[in-house]
Amino acid sequence: MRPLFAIAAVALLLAGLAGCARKERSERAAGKEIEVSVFLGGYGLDFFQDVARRYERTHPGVKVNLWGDPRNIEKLRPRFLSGDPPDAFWAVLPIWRLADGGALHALDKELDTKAYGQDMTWRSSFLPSALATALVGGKTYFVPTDLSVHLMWYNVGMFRRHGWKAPRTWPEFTALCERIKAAGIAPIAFQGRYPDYALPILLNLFQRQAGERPLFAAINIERGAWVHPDMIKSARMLREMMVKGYFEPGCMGMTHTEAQMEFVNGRAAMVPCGTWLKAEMKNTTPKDFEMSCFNYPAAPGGKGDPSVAGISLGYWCVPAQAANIAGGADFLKWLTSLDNANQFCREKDTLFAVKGADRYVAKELAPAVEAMRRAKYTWAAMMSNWYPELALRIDDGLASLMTGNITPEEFCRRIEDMCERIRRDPRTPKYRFEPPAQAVAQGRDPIPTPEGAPR
Amino acid sequence: MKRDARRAVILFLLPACGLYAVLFLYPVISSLALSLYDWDGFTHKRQYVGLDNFTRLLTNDPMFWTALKHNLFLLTVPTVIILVVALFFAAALSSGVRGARLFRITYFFPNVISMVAITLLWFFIYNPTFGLLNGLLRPVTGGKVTIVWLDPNHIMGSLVAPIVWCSLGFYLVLFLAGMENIPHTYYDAAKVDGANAWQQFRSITMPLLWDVITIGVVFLIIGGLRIFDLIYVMALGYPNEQSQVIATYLYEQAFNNAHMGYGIAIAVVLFVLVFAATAIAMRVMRREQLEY
Amino acid sequence: MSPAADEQSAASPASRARNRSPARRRRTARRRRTARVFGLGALYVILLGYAAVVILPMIWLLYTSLKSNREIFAGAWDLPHALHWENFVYAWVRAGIGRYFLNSVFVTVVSVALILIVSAMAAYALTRFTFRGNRLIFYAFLVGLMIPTQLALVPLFFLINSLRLLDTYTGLILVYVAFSLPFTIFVLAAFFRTLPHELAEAALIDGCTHSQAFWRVMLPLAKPGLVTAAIFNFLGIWNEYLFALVFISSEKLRTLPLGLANLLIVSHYESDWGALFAGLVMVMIPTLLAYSLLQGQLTKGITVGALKG
Repeated sequence: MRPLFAIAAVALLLAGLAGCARKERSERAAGKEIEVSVFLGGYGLDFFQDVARRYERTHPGVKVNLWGDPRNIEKLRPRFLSGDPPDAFWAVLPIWRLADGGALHALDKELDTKAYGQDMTWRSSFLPSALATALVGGKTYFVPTDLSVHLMWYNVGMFRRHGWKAPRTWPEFTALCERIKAAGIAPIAFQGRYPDYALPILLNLFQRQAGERPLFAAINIERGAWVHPDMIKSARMLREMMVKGYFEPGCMGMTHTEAQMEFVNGRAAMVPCGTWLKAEMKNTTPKDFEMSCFNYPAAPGGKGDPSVAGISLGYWCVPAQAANIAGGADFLKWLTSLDNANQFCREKDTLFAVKGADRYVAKELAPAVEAMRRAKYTWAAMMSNWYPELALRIDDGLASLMTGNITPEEFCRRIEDMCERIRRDPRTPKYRFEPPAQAVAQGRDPIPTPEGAPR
Repeated sequence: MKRDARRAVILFLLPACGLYAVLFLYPVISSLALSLYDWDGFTHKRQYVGLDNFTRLLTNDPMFWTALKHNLFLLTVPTVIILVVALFFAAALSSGVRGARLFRITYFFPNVISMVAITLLWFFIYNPTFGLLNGLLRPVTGGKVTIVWLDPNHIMGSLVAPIVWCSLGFYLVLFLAGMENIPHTYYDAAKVDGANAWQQFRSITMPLLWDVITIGVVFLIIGGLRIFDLIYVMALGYPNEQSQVIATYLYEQAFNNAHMGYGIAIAVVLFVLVFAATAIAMRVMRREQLEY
Repeated sequence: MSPAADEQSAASPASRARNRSPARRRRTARRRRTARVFGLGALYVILLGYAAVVILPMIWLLYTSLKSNREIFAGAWDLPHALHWENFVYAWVRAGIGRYFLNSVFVTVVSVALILIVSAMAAYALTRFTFRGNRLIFYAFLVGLMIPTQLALVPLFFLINSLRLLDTYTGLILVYVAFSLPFTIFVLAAFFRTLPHELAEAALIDGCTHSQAFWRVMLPLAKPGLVTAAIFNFLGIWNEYLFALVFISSEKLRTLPLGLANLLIVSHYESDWGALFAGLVMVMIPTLLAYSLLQGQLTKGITVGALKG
């Protein structure tokens, strides 16, 4: 009897649930529906839902099916494998590999169409060097969206009380750390469990001393770039900061939230972080806490322009096998329109990679915007995005360097060796980043406000 | 075989073998084929590389050997501790201690909870700022000592405690069950002969329990080689050089680095290691079957 | 038995025989008793100590989950000032616990039922009958115990997709059943081996078919084994995450581990430690309760399984 029962149960299930076929695909192919997958992280989902609803209002007859998941990469993988990916997505994925493997749709055609709400092409609405990071083989496979500048955050109230000032040069910075230490406070909180928070410190130091060509050589993992004398010197300076006690004791065991809590609870005066800090800590920051940020100080006698800023970006893509490519691209165009970009910055306390998206920036982020305005150019540590194994090796290296387990020379040697492995590996596709020629030629890559608008 | 019996056998075996062959064996064997390719796991861009994945893994991948070293640590140190402690507790509880049943139930608690929950619990225990352990140390040492338990330099050592904590119950129950099967008469005879507790344990309990202990050793070794959840969650999804084990390295290559073929090759090698370790352990621990 | 207790009897029988004056006997008896009590005391300390090591973190987890975020960072061992039940409410809502709980119950119960039936049949056939290929099939199942499940994930996904069973409970359940076969057949085979042949033969003589002999006579006798297998499989599937993540995409079909993982990740991003702890408590309590109620059966099961396996 029981076997029959079991068979019946299975049959029932089969009958009942196998009917959930993928009828949505036909809707999407007809252009009536757009499916969007969002990485559900610090930005939540409501903003994107709001954008989706407004898209539906301005495009009657089209439905936007937007869903989010912290592990959406795991859900995207089966969708890609079965040949039915969503029409647009944002995920923590090695998207460069996807672009290389032909899984993404090149957006160049769509980029040359008019942007939403502005009198310029979609392509021109982006910050040039942000968009330049999205080039693979001369084509643009993704669009940059949320932008973060890497700076040093500091406790405004504490600085005010002690009469401390944001340093302009590196010697001023070390002197400041000494004064903070003398006052019995940890100068810098550090997110030791995620050593790549030290990468901006290292690379900014490197750029300030060596200049732009060596920086880009390091990003492009050219031969010898990571054993450049100034790189070794920067690594040594980073280690010395630890030795001199500028980093909070015990920091190597702290996650980012723990270290940042040390900062907002006044136990450390500064913390290196991207401009996402305010938003990330909003639930745990005491009400009377004032924070602000400053760009990394200049190195006296260095060849690098001290206005340069390091950034990182989020990217959205359209899969090549999506049912509704046009819809997906159009949704991205809508998402990155000036109005939506400004809304995003206002709601999420962040920056956006679109020109003019600085209308509602919070006062804590104002120095970041200022830094972007004045920066000769901006750069991003693309090699960590392109080569995940290199990113991990840099992490390990930074941790070992800061704890003193390896010497600065050894650190640089290890990274260089890993770069050599990657250079030699025929199976790993290679990428390059060049700052856009016009920006370097003009000497400017700021966030220009649209023509005619008051500055 | 009689026809009726044969029919029964086929009927009984069909569902299991069918499901197993289709949903288990077939994908596993297909995976073996995939290990001969360079594939990113997303697109259809696939390139045949033969045994290159394996040669690369075994000759040109220092991270693999580091991970293996950690696995060897995790399959020896916790194993020894668990065996000793479980045997000790089993002996204690089977000797008529009051409340033995309650102790047994309590010690088994961690085995019931999901591995992810256990890892997160220990993650909080080890937290340098608000964790349980540092919370104990601080008042005792006057707030001066803050140990960073999950510091990369000694994270492997710190992982021993959660492993022992969450596995002990099972082996305790296993050994208890084994001990309960040993007739009392043996112990009575030994007591008359003047043997003390340790001698009784060594000459009666251990030999008669040897098979059960072998099972325990085999499980622990396999567990030490295949361990994943604990490391993965403790390292917040991205184990580094000091916390990498083979299973997490497999995951990193296959899923994070988009080297699916390579990751599958690691899984194949892992399987071979598990198989070999099991065979070796059983051979080493083999003794004559004891009849009693 | 404590090693300390019987130190006295380390001397050889012969020498003890020599020291058998009454006074001496009383003294050694007293010393032995003291030593035994002392040893027993030490033993209890150790046993209770380890019990504390098991229980304490759970109690700590429980009352920390009732603290506010700031209290959590303030003092690890402090008791909460007010009971912040909203942590649980938030975690419940975020993790969709009400809905996903029912989903998990359905998937787990159906899976376990199917596993038991299918495995019992197979284990019975493999242990009760001799035929060519018997050993081979059995070892084929055992090999499955050693194979890492990630190995099969990608081709399995393709397979399920081509069978149109993606995002269905049918697909997920069948996968769970298939992957639980090695372990369950191993355990049940051990049980069936302990059952005497005579009962089955008697049933056959009475005119039962093999099927009837199995269902009516032998299977009920293997109840401890079935309960053991049921409990282990229940726990495994209840907590299973990876397959549920890959094979289920609709929100309404989600199982509990997915909801909880979501909660944990989102809470981590939002630095909502209270909800994180509350979520953990909600993961642990049901399994602990279920275990406490069923633990008698479980030990009986492991007993027989271990010894004859």
